[in-house]
Amino acid sequence: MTAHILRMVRTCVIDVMASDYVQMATLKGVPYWQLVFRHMLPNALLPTINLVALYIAWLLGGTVVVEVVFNYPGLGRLIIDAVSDRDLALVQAIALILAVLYVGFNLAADLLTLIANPRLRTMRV
Amino acid sequence: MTTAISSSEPSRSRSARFGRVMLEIAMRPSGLAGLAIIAGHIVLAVISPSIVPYDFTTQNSQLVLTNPSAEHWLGADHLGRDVLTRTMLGGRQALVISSVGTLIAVLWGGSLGLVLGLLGGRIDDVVMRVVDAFLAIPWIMFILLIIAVLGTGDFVLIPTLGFFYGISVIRISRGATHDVVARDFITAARARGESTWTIVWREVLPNVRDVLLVDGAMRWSWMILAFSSLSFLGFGITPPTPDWGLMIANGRSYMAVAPWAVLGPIIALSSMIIGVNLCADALAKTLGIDRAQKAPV
Amino acid sequence: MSDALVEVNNLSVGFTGGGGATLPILRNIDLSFGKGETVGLVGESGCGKSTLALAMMGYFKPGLRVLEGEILFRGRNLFDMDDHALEDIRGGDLGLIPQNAGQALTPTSRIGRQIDESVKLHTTLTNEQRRERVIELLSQVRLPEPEELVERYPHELSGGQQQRVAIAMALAGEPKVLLLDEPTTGLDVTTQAHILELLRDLAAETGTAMVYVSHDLGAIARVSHRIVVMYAGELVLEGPARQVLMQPAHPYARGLLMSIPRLKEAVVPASMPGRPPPPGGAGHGCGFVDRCPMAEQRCRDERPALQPTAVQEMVRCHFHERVEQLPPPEPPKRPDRPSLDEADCILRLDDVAISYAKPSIVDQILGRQPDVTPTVDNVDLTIRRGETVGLVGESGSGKSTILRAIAGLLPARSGTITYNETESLNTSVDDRDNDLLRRIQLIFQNPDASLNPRHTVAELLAQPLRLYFGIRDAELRNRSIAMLERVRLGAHYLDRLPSQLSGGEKQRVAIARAFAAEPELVLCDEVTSALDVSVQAVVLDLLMELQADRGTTYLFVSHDLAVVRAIAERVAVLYQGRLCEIGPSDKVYDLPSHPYTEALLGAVLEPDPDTAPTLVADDVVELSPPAQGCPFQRRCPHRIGEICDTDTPPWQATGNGHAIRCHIPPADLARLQKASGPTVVGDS
Repeated sequence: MTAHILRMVRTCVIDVMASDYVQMATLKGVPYWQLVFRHMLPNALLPTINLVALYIAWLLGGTVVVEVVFNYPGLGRLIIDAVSDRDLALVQAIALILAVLYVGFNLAADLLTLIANPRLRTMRV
Repeated sequence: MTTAISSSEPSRSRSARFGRVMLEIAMRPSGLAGLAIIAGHIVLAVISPSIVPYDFTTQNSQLVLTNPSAEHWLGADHLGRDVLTRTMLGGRQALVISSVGTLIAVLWGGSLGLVLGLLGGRIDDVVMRVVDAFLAIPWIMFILLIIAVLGTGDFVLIPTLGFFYGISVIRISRGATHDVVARDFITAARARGESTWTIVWREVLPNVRDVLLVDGAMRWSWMILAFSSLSFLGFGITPPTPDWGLMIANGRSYMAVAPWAVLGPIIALSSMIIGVNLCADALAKTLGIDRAQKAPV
Repeated sequence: MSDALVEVNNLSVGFTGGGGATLPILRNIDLSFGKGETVGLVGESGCGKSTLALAMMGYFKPGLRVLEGEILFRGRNLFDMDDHALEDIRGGDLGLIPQNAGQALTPTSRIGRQIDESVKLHTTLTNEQRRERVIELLSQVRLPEPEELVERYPHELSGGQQQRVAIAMALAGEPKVLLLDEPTTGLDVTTQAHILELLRDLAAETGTAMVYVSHDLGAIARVSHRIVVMYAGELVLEGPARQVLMQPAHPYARGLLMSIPRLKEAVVPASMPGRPPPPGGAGHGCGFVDRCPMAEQRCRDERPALQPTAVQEMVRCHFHERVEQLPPPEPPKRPDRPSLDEADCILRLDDVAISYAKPSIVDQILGRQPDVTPTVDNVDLTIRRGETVGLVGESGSGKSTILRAIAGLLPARSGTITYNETESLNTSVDDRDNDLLRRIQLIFQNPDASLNPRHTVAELLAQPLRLYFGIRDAELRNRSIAMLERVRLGAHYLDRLPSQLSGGEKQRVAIARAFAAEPELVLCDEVTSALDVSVQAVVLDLLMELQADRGTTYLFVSHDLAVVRAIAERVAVLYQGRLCEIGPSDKVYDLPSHPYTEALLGAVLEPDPDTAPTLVADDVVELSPPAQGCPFQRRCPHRIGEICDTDTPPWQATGNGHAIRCHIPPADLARLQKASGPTVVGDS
């Protein structure tokens, strides 16, 4: 997961560093670190927000293997056991919880992206 | 806008292009390593039945958890079966299931994404909401449900994995199609009066193909891991067929005493996944595609 | 000159190419200038002018490096400075105004903050003082309501406004030298004129030295004291602006000036054959040798050095004295075109209205159109067979929209479009039969986008041949080669991909593709706007040749009035999707004009030091047309009152098919417009 996020951020940073506005800021005389934090990061991290939100949602239900290996009492393991035991009610419950969490995190991600990216805020036809 | 390939003589024939891509991948160190590893595993999968020293089902209670020795290079597992044999054979199922599954995933997800990207409008909105709903389900649960209903076995696993992973491909394919459709050459084709089919096949597909290829390569490695995880959890392969995931699960309890029983499959599984990843990486760089995938699944 | 602010000494810049060879982008550039001077740096794509401009800030794009030479800023070598020193100078004493301001402003940061950043970095004002200074700067660049503007984000501003913000940002550092990298590319004609006047005034007020980099000689002529012409990475001509523009001493500069269409002349300008050498491809001799009308063996063997001429110029040519005596180019011999008087009507638009608004569900149920002011309204146009009609307007004028409606890509909301007096074009592409589709072809502005990057030229040409004529195999290949030769490209282009072609070549392939269908009507959507001037001349010449050959009719859309003048017999002027004026080109380009045409013509920048633009209307961007009355009501300098807001102006004919849509009668308009007259500039 870290690796994935790392790659994502890396690609975005490379893209942004090559962009016109970073070049412009450099040519404005903005010192390096100010450039990084004020011009580069806010733009580079935008796509990452979505990814991180998805990952958080995934962490809640998709890490079954880890839970089994390390014996964590997690939702993923619970659902496996529920399926094995044919405990339908539990399966339904967990499914509902996971769905709500997923939708919730996606919504949060969308809202965060809206806050971070001013272009999306003022929609002009 | 330059791609790494199209510098010198472009050739129409698909095999020539394939050859050139392979060559470029092999020229990168990561690509070379990846190709070598994959090739090694494929060769192993093909020839292993003929070269394994023992039968993988033979249980020998006297050899339970013995250390590596001259007769058993990797020792024996908890049922006395030769670990080396089982390791060499363990990748076959994984390879077959994952590659066929990936193919299904890319084909069906890619096509649907293409269609949605072209259609737009209401249908696109509705279907994408359904896709989002599917993505909300953790894969394990989905597959478990199917297994609970249909049982395990290749004919269940392959389509299931293919279907599920294909859903994420829809997103990628749709995104790539959106990028292509907005460009003037599509409008030009429409203005000429080309049929929709011609536009899709001749104009859109060649531009979307590369993205799908790279995504497919990455998805293959995930698919291998997913399948092995399923086996690990006991939902994949039916014993006694050897499989790395299953071997790791079984050998886990004895790791303190007999680590080699899991070492073999661990190294084998990791190396295959790494090999595929390296190849996918090199492919992405060669084709000039941004590697970062937008969805973690 | 010891008081030179910037001195470029023998600068060569290059990169390492594919095979490991060092390929130069700039070769031995010598340039210097001081306070109060504006130097115009002219050249076409790939000549290295942008690289030079950025180098003057000590900046190189990744991959480029200095091969030799130095650049002194106030006596200090930029390449010896450390990052800290460079940061000090950049944005401060040395300011940059970038090409595409929309891309150059950080999208996630408010305007006020970005300008404030510049002020903070390069001055020592307190918070309060800085706030005031930002407002002051925005006023200085003539932006309205600066207090409100500081809160906005870059994407909320129009292109012209963004450019002004970029200028304000550069001024924030109180620069001694301003570098302007094509600052008006992509802006409307009228906006461009306004920005240039602003720059001129600023330079005069503050005494800042400026380097104006552009391929547009008209803009350069307006602002520069000295002009430097670049070709293939070399400086080939440098001298006082007037001298370079009127009597260029280098054959390339001469060719370049000749390939610019002029408002006064209704001819396709002469073009230079060939194209510039790629980096490293210039060989041992002069880079221009393959295209030069007076090239000799010496030019091939020996690279000319920069030599002074009698009139304070520096020129890189062995035979520069002979340039004056070069004969003017011969106009191409074309067969006489049949008179258009008896030609039948090939395309007729009757009261056409087009709207992008889609009907909502309610509207669909009730079967009515959405009640929105249409993008294009009330358009009447008649085109005769074999004619070239120019459709002129700025962005938002609806000219592309009209083309797409004719092509069937968009439905007309009302009105009729008739082809050949018999066939209706109110149909969409899907409903037209193949033959009708074949006869009307569309060529796009940007050949990068209109050619599928994965198809070879052969495949691109095969598409119409296969679709319309069902040809295949050997005959397909032969016809494709024939088409290529018609557009002056050799058969060896068949296997190339678009990425291996230059802009001009790509556009020629697009033209070949359109003409492969043997159309009767070709719709040209800004087909030369994305091309260099010299390439534009080639393409225009080609279009005229094809027309003379086949009697094709053109509907030529452009924002460039000079280009339209060169090729169109009749011109229609559009503003906000409504026709303002229509008639024979010589009449439209002369008085009386519709007030909008007057504004457009006034804003045109010609590479003539004796002319200056007249800024008639305000530089205001209108997002949508007014619901009633004259579309130009909000900006018209000759507005007569409420009638302009409420009543649609009538067509007033002045004879010969020329009509103006205005409430003011043409005779009165003529008088008003003669009175304000074009300005003639005494100084430059």
